[in-house]
Amino acid sequence: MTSTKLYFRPVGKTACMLVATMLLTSSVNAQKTAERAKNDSIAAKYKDENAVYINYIEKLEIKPDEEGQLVATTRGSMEKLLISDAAPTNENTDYFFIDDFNQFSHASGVSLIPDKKGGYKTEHNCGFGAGGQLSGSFYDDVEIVQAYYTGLTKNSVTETKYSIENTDISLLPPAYFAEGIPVLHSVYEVTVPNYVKMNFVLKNTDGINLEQKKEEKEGKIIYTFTANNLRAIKRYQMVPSSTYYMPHIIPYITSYRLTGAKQDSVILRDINALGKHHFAYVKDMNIRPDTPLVRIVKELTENDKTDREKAKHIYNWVQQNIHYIGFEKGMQGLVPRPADTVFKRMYGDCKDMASLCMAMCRQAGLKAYFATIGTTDIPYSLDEIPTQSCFNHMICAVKLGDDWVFLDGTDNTEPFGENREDIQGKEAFIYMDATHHQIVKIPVVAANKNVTADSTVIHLNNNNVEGTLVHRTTGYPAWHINRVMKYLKEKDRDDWIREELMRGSDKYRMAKYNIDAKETGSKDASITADFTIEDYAHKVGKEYIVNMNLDRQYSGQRMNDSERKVGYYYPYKEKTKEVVVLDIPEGYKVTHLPPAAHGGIEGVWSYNISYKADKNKIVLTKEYEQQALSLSPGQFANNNKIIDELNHEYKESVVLTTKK
Amino acid sequence: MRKLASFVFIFSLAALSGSAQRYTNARPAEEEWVSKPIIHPVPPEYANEPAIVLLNDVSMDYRVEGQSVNMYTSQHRIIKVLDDRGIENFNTLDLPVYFGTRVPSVRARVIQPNGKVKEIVKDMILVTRNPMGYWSIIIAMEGVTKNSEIEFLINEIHSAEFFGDERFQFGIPVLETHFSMSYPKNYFFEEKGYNGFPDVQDTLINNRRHISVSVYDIPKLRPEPASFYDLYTMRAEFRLDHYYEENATNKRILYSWEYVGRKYYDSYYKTNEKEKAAVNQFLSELGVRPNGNEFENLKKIENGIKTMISQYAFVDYDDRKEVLATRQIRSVSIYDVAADETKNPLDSIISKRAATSSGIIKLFVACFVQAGVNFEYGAAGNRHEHLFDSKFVNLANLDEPLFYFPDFKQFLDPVREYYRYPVVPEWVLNNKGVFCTIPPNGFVTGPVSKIRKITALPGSETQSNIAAAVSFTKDMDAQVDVSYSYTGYESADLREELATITKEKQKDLVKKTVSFAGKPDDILKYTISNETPDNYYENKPLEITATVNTSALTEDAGKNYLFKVGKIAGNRNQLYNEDKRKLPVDLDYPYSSTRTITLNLPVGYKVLNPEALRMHAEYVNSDLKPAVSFKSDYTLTSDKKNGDKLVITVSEYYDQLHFSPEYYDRYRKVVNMSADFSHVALLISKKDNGKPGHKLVKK
Repeated sequence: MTSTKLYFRPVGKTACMLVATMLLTSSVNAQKTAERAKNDSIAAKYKDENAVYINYIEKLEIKPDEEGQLVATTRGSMEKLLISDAAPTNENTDYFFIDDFNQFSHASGVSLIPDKKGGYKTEHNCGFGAGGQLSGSFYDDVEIVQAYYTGLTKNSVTETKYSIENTDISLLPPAYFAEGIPVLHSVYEVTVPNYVKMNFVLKNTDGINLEQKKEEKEGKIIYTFTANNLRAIKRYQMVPSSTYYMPHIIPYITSYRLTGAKQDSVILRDINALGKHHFAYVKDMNIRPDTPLVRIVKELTENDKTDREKAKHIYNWVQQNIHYIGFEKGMQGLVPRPADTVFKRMYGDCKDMASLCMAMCRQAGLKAYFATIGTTDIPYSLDEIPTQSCFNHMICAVKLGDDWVFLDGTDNTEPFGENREDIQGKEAFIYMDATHHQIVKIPVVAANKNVTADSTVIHLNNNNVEGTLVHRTTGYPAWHINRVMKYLKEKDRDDWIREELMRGSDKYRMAKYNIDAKETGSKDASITADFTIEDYAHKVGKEYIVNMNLDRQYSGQRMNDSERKVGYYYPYKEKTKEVVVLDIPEGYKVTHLPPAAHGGIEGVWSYNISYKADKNKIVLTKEYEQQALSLSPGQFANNNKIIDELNHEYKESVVLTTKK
Repeated sequence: MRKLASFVFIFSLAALSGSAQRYTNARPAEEEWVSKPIIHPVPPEYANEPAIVLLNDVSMDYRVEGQSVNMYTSQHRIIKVLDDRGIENFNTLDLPVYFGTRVPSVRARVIQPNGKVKEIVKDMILVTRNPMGYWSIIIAMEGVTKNSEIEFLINEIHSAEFFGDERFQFGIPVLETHFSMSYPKNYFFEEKGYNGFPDVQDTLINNRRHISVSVYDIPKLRPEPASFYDLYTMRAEFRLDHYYEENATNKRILYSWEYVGRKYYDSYYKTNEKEKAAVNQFLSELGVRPNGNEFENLKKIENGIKTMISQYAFVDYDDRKEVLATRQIRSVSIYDVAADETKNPLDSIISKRAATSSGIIKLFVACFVQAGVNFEYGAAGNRHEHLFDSKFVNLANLDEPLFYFPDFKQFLDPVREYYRYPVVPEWVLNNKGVFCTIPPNGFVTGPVSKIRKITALPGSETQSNIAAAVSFTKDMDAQVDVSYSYTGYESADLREELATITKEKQKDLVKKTVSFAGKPDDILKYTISNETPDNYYENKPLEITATVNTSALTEDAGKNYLFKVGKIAGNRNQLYNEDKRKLPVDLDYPYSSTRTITLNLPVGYKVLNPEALRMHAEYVNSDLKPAVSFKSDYTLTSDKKNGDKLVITVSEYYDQLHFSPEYYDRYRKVVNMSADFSHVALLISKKDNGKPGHKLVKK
């Protein structure tokens, strides 16, 4: 979706392909009995694993080239021991990542195959392949390079080495300390000349006993980070990205002073330096007015009386007419395209849409600027890490009076003035000019702006339930429905609506429905429907037993992984009110009404359940409020207790009994 | 298109190339588009579609060039986009470029509703690779608005394919379709259409033969549950029937099923003395006694090869080709098992304990021959995509290698390491394959190949059963001892998963299996047994047992309880909302299931609605025999001292795999009744209106 860079792995080169070597000739009958014995004992210790990395080492070296300019190289080596029967087939690859800023330089691989003498024979049986398009963008430069070994057997060891040229020293890649299999010994080493000042930001390293060392010798500073006996990393759901829990280090150069220089060359010392560095990407953009753009802006705004109206009409036009196509290759991932190009092509990525919005707004006389931002995928703040690592998205910031309004053309259903849910609470870095910037936090939308009100009236027909429902939404839930209106038709839309409104059981059938929603610009959306649920009620003897909890919205929100150390994240705050009205069949009276209940975690979420009955009907009212965007691991136990209580309430039925 | 049958196709290429040089022809003219395109109207019946294909024109032109035969293909397509979804589906093009392909030209343009044409400049036609390493040409279309027409034309050159198919039906309507082939006069191709696509004979024009098919108004076809979508889309299959060598003998080379049998023999059956010696030693290592018990030998050979010889994909890194004439690319992907490693000596394979799939097949053949196991080697195709057509020798459709054992009338898949005799992948079942009948000594006395049906194991040998005993705590939480057992094809995916996951991940698999547990902690303990593939030989069930204590099954109903017993029987596929049906229903394999749930009721309690457990539905075939059936029932035993016992039995079977759309409702009735059972909840009540019995503490 977004298109500015987020580095997630160490990396090599794209455009020219790897000259791969694959020599299936075996060679050398090295006697490595001691090593074999050591590895056999590791295999015995980790017998329940498919494989382990014995060593996983990455070394970043920054040094001056012949002209004194700093250049950076990353060298990696991975030594893997295959343990299980399945490992020769399923663990026969290693991998690393490359892109245009981290270009492939060299790679090699050998394996040690156990021999009958208790040692190993060395095989040059490794080939390399690469595949790209990993970001989901239309065109990107990130490629995964795989070292692929053939002819492995159980207890083989593979040794893969690679080197990568890091071509932009302001965009050094982070180093990660965990893999999908255990890592016994992991090292990240950074060597720089002693006139280079580095910063390292450690993320999620509390649980891995990371040892840090800094030593200076022969005019160089060597930083070493070591972790041992790392468990296989688990992947978690309901967290925006793995950077929230993967142990990693973000290195960056703050400044350096070359020999003879009178002052430091500043790279990324602070936010001001970052602003200056990044303004270069946009400073020459959209300076000259483009005739077709001038014309369309005039058409769109000629009847507008206020700046707000102008901005709204421009934004809506971009939403409707420019389609998202993402480019993330090299500098394309950082520099927006000129507005006239985007206008001509009718497509673009987030930066391109920001560029077009900015140019059109400025043409209309508005104060509009580029702004970069990190979506919720990025858990860093600018105070913490003043680097490109904080950004993966670009929008247009417009100053309307004292207020900032952000235009994000990548979402084509959100109303003017609203923001995508994944940038709520994030810092927009607004480029005012070459020396000035402003950081503005995107507001988090209050729960009472994202409201779902769902009313159902049901009556009983033997064991079947028949009913009508009205599902009203405003805010983010409404915009999801608008998106459905825009993109789905006929059976696709029917299936989505049924799935969205399904209640009671999968025997829910919708006779007909009606949607009141607009594709764009509407804050509300509602759906009405007639439905039946076969075999939902229980008519037994003189009694009707009906569980009126047709929807159990929070039943699955238990944190079942006791080892989870990362929070649970919600897309937005919201309020939900669910009302179910049961018509009491003639001749029946209420003989059991479940009690009212309420609960929750203060400041995070709450629920309230009540039943009311009169002669003709029973009304169940359930209200939920999601008050926070995340639940911390320390709250999981309490949350589970409350979910269990709520699940107990969900299991309560009303009982109707014949009057006779 | 261009799906290669790796085990056969490589031979047909080799056979042709030696005699091809005399038929050198000029390169064909590249396909062109009109310089001034017109705007096409939208037929009113398609106004609500996201997009329609106005034109789909595929041509294939075979040219003899030096020692090889090349194929010049072109694809010309025009798509009209009608709404935002259509725009976003088609405003980027991703044109896969297959192994060894050159692309001399690719053009794309947008014709806007006002007639303005925007052709994409060359700089914006990009080459990229997907994560699997396959190359694509990608193009972002400029200026696309509703009712724009997106047109592209791609010309490619690659080694000739003499067998294959081309699909012409999609999820949106196609107004105009053309398919053409052109080839030298000494080649004799056949084209056959499936699912309504026409069959056409070739025509000789100017010393070349031509096949040309045009079809108008191909309706859209969408996937449906339990259907083989690819099998039922309109397609043209093509095959080279024969060709003449232009030399002194004017020899006729015929591509028949007999040809296939002979090629299998030539590729896999021949061994030298050194290899034989290595195989003999390997057999003795496996404990195989030559000419001993045939079935024992078969098992030892299969299990031995699959556990001791690692299989790896063949990788050819030296084969570099060009895309767009300027871009150097390397051989596509490590996932391409092109794999002609038959030249790799068996002694080397045995010594290295590793081989590609073709090396493994060759080793199987040698082991069976030297152990005296009676066998035929062959291959079958994927019935989700093609049904075997004995009258149309399309070698591209034979891509799953198999062994057949005449003495046991069963099959074995040599290259899937977690399968064992007689279980083979479900996608070949009920399809037919071609098997080599040449005896190992090579003395041919009759036909050299035989077409055999890959008969599925009966439903009784593929079972998924559940046995559960339920008692209740004082809070009416359920205490369940449950056992899941799987045999035959039902166990294949689980066995493969269990062979490859870590112990840690096994817990997740058990949680998924014990679907009625409310939360993971509800599963107090579990066991897994008979999970290794060698259990297929005796069809020992893979068993997962668990002890579960859960409140998730019990709900409060005033003074009574609702017990969701159906959840223990597991969730079943349902077709509640799938009313309309265009495609036949096709099931993967015959299957049966029994579920026995014993409820040990608390003393003094009874079930008020046991009749809810009685269900029965059948699909009766034309012989008036039930081919699909679901039945559930119960017996209740009163026991005042220990509490009543309710034994619930569910039996279900699916002996028939194919159901035409007209029988869909009858089939669906059985499936939905099976799903209905998972909704059954029993109302449990005190027998004597409040007198002390089982001590209850209401939460």
